[in-house]
Amino acid sequence: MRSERWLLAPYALGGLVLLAIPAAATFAVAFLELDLLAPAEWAGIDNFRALLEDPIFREALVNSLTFAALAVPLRLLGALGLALLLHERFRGAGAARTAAYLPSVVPDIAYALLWLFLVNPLFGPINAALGLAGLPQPGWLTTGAGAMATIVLMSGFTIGEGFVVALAARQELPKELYELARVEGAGVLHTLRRVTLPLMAPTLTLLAVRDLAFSLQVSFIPAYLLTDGGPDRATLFLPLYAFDVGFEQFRYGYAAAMTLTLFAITAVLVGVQLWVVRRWRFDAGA
Amino acid sequence: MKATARPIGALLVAILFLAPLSFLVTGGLREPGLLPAGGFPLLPERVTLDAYERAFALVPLGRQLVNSLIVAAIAVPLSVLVASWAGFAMMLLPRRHRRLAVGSSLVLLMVPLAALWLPRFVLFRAVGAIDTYIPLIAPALLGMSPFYVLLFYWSYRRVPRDLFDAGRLEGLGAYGLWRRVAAPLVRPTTFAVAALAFVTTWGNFIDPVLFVNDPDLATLPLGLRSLAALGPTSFPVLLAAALVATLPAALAFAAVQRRFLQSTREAGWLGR
Amino acid sequence: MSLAFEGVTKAWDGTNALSSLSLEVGSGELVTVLGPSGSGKSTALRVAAGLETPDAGVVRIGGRDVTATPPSERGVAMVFQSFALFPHLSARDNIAFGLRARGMSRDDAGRRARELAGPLGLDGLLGRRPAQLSGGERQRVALARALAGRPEVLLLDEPLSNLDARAAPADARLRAEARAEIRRVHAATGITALYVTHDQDEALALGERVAVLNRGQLQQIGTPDEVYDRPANRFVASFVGEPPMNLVEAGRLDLPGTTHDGVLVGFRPEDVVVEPSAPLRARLVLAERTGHDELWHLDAHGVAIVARPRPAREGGPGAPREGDEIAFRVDPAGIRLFDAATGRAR
Repeated sequence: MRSERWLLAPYALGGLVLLAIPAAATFAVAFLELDLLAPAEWAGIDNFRALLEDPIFREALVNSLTFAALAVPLRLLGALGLALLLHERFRGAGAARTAAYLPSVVPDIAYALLWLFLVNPLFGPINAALGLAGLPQPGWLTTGAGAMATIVLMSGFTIGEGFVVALAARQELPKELYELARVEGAGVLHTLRRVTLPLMAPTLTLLAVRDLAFSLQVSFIPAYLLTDGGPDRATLFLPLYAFDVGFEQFRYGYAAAMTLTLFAITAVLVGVQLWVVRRWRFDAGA
Repeated sequence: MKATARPIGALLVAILFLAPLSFLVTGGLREPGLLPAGGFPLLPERVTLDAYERAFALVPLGRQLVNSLIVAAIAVPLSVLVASWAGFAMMLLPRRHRRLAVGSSLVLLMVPLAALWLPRFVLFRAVGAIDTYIPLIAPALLGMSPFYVLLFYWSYRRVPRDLFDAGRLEGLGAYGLWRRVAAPLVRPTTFAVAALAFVTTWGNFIDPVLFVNDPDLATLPLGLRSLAALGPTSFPVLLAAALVATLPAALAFAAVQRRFLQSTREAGWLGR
Repeated sequence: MSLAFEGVTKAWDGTNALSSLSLEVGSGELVTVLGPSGSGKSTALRVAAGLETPDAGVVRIGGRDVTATPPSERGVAMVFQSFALFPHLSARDNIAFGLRARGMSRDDAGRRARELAGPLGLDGLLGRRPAQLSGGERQRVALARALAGRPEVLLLDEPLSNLDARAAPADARLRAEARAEIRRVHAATGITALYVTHDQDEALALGERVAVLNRGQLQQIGTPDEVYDRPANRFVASFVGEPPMNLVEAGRLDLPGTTHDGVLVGFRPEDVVVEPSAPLRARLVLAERTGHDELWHLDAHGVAIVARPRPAREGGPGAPREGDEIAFRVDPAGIRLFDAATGRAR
C-alpha cells in the first residue's frame, strides 16, 4: 500500500520546510560571523569559544538549568498526582479534572498579566493573604529568588497537557492487575512503585522529555513578559538571551551558536533521562 | 484509600487551580485606575464594567478578537487533519520507515524555538508572507507540533490491527481506512489535540511579534501587549482584557472537554 | 474457484513461518488447516488473503496467479479470530461495510444486510453495536460481513475460538451450533473455504479434507479418516486424536509383527483391548472419567500406555481398581509403524 505516503506528505513537507531546514540553517549559521553590518564570514568554533567566556551566557545557562530542575519535577509530579487522584469516576472528579486543566487554556500573555497582579507587592492577593496569616510578604519580582520562584510557581499550574496524557495512560491499566495486587496484599505504595509506575513509565518518559525540552525553551515567554529577565538577570533564560542577542543586537551567528548549544544540552539531558528511566524500569520490573 | 478521601482531594484540587483564575474574573470588575493596597477582599465593593470599556477604547480588542478567530478557524482544523493523517500514515509504514519517522519526530521535538525564528523570518520574507496570516497558520502544516502527531500515532497503534486488515480486504486504501475506520475510533484523541492546538494558536505570542507588524492584522496577544505597555498600573483594565482574551479559549475547551477529559477507558484514546 | 499455494515461503525475522507450502483447495471444497500455535497456519491464511506477500512461491485463485493482486481484488473474504468488527458501527453497517466501500448505495447495502441476517438469526439485532452482542452473535455478524460481497473464497481464522468465554458450560453446545452454522453456509453457497484452527475436533468435524501443519511445513493432507487412521508421520500421530496415539519403541512390548529395529509402533487408545485371556500385563495407574467414556493410564513394565477400554465382553470381570493388574492386547488392525529416524509412516 503506497497511499499512506500521501497522508504523511503534508507533515513531512511542513516538518522539513518549517522545522528541519530552519533548524539546520541556524545550526550552520552558528559557525559563521554573521551580523547586520559585515558580510558573513566563516568563524569556525569562534562563537562557541566566545560563549564559554561570556559571563552572561553562563548566568543564563545556570538560570535555565535551575528552572528546569525545579519546574520539570514539579510539573511532572503534579500531572501524575492529578491523574492518580482523579482517574476514577466519583463525585467531583469530573469538575476537578476540568478545574485542573483550565489554567492551561489561558493565553500566555493573559496568564502573565494575571500573575503580575497576583504577586504585586502592594495590592496583589498573594501578599495580602500572607499578611492576613501573619507571614512575611516577599517582594516577589524584586528579588532574584522571588522572580525565579514566581515563574516556577506559574508553570506549576499549567500542566493540563501532561495531566490528560497521564490520565489516559492511567485509565488504560487493566483493573485485574489492581485486584490481583489487593488479593496479594500489596500496600498502596508497593502497588504504586511496582505496578502503576512501571506500567506508566513509557508515557511518563515521553512527558518528561517533552517537559524538559519545553522548560528549557518556553520559559522564554513569562520571563519576557513578566520580568524581562530581571531583576539583575536572575530570570534571564537562554532563549531570552538568544532573542536579545539575535533580534536586538542582531548578532545572528552568536545567537545561533547559543541555540545550538541549547539543543545539544536538551539532547544530552533527554538522553540521560531515557537512560535513567530504562534502568529504573528494569530494576523495578525485575 | 477511604471513600471520602478522594472527593476531598478533588475539592482541594479544584480550589487550588481555580483560585488564581478567580482573580481573572473579578479583577476586571473593579473601577479602573490604581487599586487600593491589600487587594482583598475577593469581590470589589462596587461592580462595574468601566474597565472593559476602557480596555476596548485603548486598544481595538474587538478587531483583534476577530483576527484571532480567523487564524484559529483555519489553523486548528488544518493542524488536526495534518496530525491525524501523519500519525495514521506513520502507523501504516513498514517498520524501518516507521522508526525513522517516529525518531525524527522526537528529535524535532527538541529543536529550540529560538533556532527557528530567524530562518522562518527569512523564509516568510522571501515569499512575501510577512504581514499576512500565513506565518501564523503555517505551523498547522506540521500539525502544530510533532508531539500531536505522536499522540495520534500512539492512539492508532492501539486500534487492533485486524480492523485495518478487515478494511483492506474490502478494498480501502490508506485514506479510506483513515476516514472510515481509524478516525472514528480515535475521536477522544482528536478532540484532545483540537483543544491543545486551539490553545496553542490562540495564545501564540511570539509569532505575531516577529512576523506581523500591520496593526490591522494584530491578534489578541499583540493587543494585550500594547495594553500592558499603555497602562502598566491599571490592573482592572489589564485583567479585563486578559479575560476577554481567555474566554474564547475557555469556551472552546468547555465545548470539547467532555470528549477527552471525562471519557473513561474509551476505545482509541492513547495509552502505553 | 480453487485456491492453490505453490511453494509458498514466508519468513519473519529470519525464521520461516511457511516453508515451501503447496496445497490446493478444490472449487467448492472446505479444507481445514490444523496445527499448533506458531505452525504458520494463520500466516498461510493471510498470504491467501493478500494481507502478507510471500517471500517465494505463487498463490492462485481459480488458476489465476494473484500473488501480487491487492486483497480486495482477489474475490476473497475473511472471518478474523477477533471478528474484527468495527466497534463504532452497528451490526448492519458492519455487514454492509465492504459493499459501501465498493460504492453500493446505502439502501441496496442495507437490503443485502437484511437478506443475510435472516438465515443467520440476526433479525432484530442489526441496529446493535458489537459491544451489545453476545460472542455467538458477533461471530455470525462477522460471517455475514464476509459473505456480503459474495466472495469466491472464504478464509476463516479460528472463528470459533473467541466465542463467549463467560458461558463456559454452554461453550461446547455453542461451538457445536456455530460449527453446524458454518457447514450449512458452506453447503448453501458452495463457496471454497479454507478454515484454520488449532482444535482438532473442529478440524476433523468440519473439513472435507484436513491439512496438518507444523513449523511452516505441510505434514499431511487427507480426509479426516485418512488423517486419523493413517497418520503420515510421527508428528501427525502425536498431534491428532484426544488423547493421541500411543507411540512405543519396537521391542518394548511383545506385539506380533513389530520386532524390526528402528521402528516406532503406534496404536490408538481405543485399539487396546482389555480381556482376561490377553497376553500382555499392565498395572492400572489412573482411571480417568471423561464424560461419556473412561481413559486408563497403564504401566506395562515401564512403558506408559493410554487405553480407552472397549466394553468388557460378556462374562468379563468387574471394573478393576487403580493399582490392579490387568491383561490386554492390541488390535492388530490398529497398529501403525513409523521410522524412528525420519518419523515417516512405514
